[in-house]
Amino acid sequence: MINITIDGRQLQVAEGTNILEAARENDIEIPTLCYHEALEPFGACRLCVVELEGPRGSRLVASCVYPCEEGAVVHTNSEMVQRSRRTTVELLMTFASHIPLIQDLAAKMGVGEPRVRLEPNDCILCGLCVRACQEIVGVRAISVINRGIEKKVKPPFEVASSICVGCTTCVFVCPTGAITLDDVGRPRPAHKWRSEFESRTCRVCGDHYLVSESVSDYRALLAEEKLSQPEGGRQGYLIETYHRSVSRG
Amino acid sequence: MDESAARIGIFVCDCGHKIADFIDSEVLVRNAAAFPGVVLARRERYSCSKAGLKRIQAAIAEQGLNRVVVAGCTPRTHEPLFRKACEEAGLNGALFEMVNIREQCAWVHGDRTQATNKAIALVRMGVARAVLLEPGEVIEAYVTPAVLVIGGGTAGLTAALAVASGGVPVTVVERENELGGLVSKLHSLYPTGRGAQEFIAGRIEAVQNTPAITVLTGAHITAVDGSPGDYHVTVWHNGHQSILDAGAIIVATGAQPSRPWGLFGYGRPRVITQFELENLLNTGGIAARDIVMILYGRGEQSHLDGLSCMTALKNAILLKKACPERRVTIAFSDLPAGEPYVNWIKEARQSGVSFIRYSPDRKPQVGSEAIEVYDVLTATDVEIPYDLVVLSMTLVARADASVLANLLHLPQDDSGFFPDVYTRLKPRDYADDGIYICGCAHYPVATAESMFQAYNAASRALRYVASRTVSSQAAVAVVDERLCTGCGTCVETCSFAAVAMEKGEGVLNRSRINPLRCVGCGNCVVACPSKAITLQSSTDQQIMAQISAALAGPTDGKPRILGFLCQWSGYAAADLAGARHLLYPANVRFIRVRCSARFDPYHILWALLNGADGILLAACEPGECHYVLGNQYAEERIENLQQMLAVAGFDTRRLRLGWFKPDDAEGFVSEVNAFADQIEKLGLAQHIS
Repeated sequence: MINITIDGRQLQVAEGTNILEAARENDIEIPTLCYHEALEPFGACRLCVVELEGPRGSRLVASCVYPCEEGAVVHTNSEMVQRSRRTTVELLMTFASHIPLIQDLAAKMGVGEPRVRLEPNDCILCGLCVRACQEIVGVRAISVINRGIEKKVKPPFEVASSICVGCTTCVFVCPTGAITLDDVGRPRPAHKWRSEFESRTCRVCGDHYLVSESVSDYRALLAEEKLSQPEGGRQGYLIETYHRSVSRG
Repeated sequence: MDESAARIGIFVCDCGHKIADFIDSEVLVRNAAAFPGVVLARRERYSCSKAGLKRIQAAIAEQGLNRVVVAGCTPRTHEPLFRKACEEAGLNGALFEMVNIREQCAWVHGDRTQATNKAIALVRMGVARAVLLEPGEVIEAYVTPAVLVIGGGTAGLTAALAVASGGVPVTVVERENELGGLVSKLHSLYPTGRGAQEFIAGRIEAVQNTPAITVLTGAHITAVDGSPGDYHVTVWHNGHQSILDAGAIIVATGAQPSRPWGLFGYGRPRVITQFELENLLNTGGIAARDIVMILYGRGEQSHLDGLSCMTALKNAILLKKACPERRVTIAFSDLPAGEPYVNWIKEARQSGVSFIRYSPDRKPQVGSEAIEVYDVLTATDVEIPYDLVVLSMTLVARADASVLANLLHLPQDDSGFFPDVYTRLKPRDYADDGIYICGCAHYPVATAESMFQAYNAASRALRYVASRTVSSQAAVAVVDERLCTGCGTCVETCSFAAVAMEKGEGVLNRSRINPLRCVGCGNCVVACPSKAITLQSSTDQQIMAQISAALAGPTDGKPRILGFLCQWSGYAAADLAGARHLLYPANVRFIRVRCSARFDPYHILWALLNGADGILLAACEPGECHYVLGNQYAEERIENLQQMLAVAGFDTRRLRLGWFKPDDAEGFVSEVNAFADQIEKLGLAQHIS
């Protein structure tokens, strides 16, 4: 066990515990945006910074990634910490002031209008979605790409991912509601649904035909017309289509 | 396991204040401790923190717990974490159960007493289920260290050579009597201008000189059995059939040139396709002096693919250079732009090939002596006499592609090619692990890309074979052979070809489920008329125990509403609704199932008999089922059930099947509210007896 002092309270915590966990275990709340219990800590949002007293004065550390050390003295809500957090929230406000979560944080910390305004963006780059996809789902369909102000969360090459399983865990963990599910796949024929009939174009003759449901009519039609053309003709294709839709059907 | 042998530990999570602010955890813990089989009920501040997990592990050891229930947040994010902790403490991960009292209770009801009562009911359901949980096991199977390549063209031969160089024996099955495929009928290849014959002969020779490669020509595949990693492929060869064992299969069956009867006068003696031109170049010279090539994209997407355009440019240059006084004209409506094309177009221009652009609305008319083209650039009709018209036609899927598609369960696109499997939603078909597609079977590609794809497929096949074992940890369906009557209903319903009939003892056949193919959707379990199939971790007993537990508590005069939620749509939407703190009534209890295919009419009847006043079923939207056709089966079953119930005098408005999107929390909540309102208006159900 390790002895640590957080906000004046002498605490004993297990080795390997980080400051954030130690504080939360003991009913000391530290605000976070990018921390999630089921995921490895990431240290992205810098909202969880705490003041760590040291021999050469205090310094700020991100409590979610900083392990507890023997005899450490930590302040989670000192003037130094509050100043840092206010700056962080003000920076978030520059582009995410329309998000209720950020508005709440700003109100709580007394941050008003930010000094600069950037283009509004729902994504605060907390990386929760990326880590959830990787660590919980085990798929790695999305990642953080680019650096600096170009940084964003995207699937590889910014095209619809073929490995995404559509589990929406990313939608669920997103703190700002920036992710929604968009069906970008090619149109899928819904065979047996009463509500949908899909007509498609015959790839050779350009005629339209209907799938499944109307195939029986074609069967009657085909019985009357003998196959006259050697291959690739309309009837040949219709028969092929019919067989395929029946075998799938 | 019965309740007397169960030693259940319940950990009620406060989640800091996030649950404790909305639910009276003390009351919940007190109630939970009284449930049968429970030996420990404890309140935790954060059960998912490192210290919390350690405390759970210590409790497993100290109290000898054989079931662990955590009442806290959603299993969708935290279940793997707790499972792992249980396994570290020596408890099988499948014996862990999670009760979602945060997203689906604390955050969505607004009333502390009601939420607490519901949480007690949810924990009762979780305990009822936990008692019946069975330990899960990992199923492992060996991967046969051999690869089968179907097709002996450029892609097939290249893939075979690459696999053989990785030290794995390969068998190439070719339908024709000669190896070589389409390329062996061509004259030359771009961009090198190298002779196609010379190229493919080199490949064939290399294949024949590699001892690890067995070649079967004039052979075709009639059946594919086995499971991923262990395929048994029946091949007809030389009049007798043999069975080849393979760990992976590479499909390189190629494509065939299209023959556009009637288009641009095709069918006349002097109108041919580029493919036929290549044949002519191979067999002898071309005497024609006036040659017109028409570039034409097919169908609505009349864009020209690079392959047929490059072929035309290559042949135009070749013909012009062979005989400079020859007139070669290319009629086009559109040319591809970009690096390789532009250079070739320039070269064609420099060698004297003329280009004429026609409008897609006014296609060139091929007469008996001349071709009439409306030139878009000069806005005039031009008449070009011809000796030979060459049409650029792209490759189409082989006519027999659907046969292979059925054997290997490959998806086919609208043109009959085998596309990459879209894993997110596999609405039509599926492809196993260990089956890889390359070359023109994929889509029309040039030789260079075909080889590139072949290397890609070979490396993936090698990696798969080198893994030696494949394992499946998913809960799968198992057939009880004593109950199976061999009717085959399960075989028909399985969208994943996981079920097969086997010869059983006596006269009956028996169904057997391949655990490596089974995805655990539960469709066969519901379909089985003799109830011989059970789905691990979602057995009938478990679900019925949950239903009974959900309906057991006091009601305060409110109707009891039960929801069965597909984990991909309804359950995800419910979690999201929780995260957004959207409110709905507390008399709704949800049961999570893997797929709507698991909605069992028997369970619904059981719930109605036990006093449920309304049942809401949440499935994925039509065409979006993650298990191909699960929601479609669910719709049919629920419709039948509703008809039956209507005959029995039951108000079918109490049973509702809805389609949900996983990210549409508002839609979910409004649907739940509307349903709860309706049930409220209908009042308590008359008990069916």
